[in-house]
Amino acid sequence: MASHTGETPARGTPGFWLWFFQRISGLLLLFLVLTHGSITHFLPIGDVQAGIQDEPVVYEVVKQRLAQAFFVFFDFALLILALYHGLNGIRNILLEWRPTARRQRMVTASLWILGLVSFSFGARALLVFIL
Amino acid sequence: MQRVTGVLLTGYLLLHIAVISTSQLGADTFDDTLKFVQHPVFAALNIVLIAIVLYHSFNGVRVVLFDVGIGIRRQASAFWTCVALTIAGTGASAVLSIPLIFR
Repeated sequence: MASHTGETPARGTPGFWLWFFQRISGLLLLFLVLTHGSITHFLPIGDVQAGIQDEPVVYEVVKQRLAQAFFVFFDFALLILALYHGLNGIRNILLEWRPTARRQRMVTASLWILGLVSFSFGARALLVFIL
Repeated sequence: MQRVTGVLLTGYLLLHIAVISTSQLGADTFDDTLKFVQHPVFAALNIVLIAIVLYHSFNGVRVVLFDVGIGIRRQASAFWTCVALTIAGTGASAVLSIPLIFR
């Protein structure tokens, strides 16, 4: 099991860049997800214990964080890369069942729609705090 | 395992986006919803999520290292390193979660 998506595609084949970017997005997400978890969910535990805020994630704290341009960039990068990596991973699994070309196009189109709808929900949720 | 954890994490991602989307319904609705999902029961379940995230992350690094030709001759020890790092990270986050679970 050298790779869960089968053999490494050769450069210049259609699957190469998808395969390559799945690795790149994965490595970026390793950093982004662990940082997100630490800052958003673990760092505020001290303030919860001190009675400064009721829960680690409260509206006002999120608003203050997203007033900083760094976190706007960070959260959008996380949203886009996580959706890409997750949905492309699901596409890889589905394509291993070797669907017909027509079914393959349906899978790709459905995942694109799911991804764009999810991005729109995530982006609009963030924009509430930013704008 | 990488596929199972990946599908679980993608499902979680979509739920996570749905939860934070309540910000569009106002600060009070957002805070009520987040109070619910930060209930001690969910804080405990969160440790399972962290275990899945860490396993998928470390195993993913292992896959990338194999892709570039590193560690192929030591597949067994590479796998157990992933497991050990996952257990260590999950244990550490469980200890940090104690104030959120018992309150």
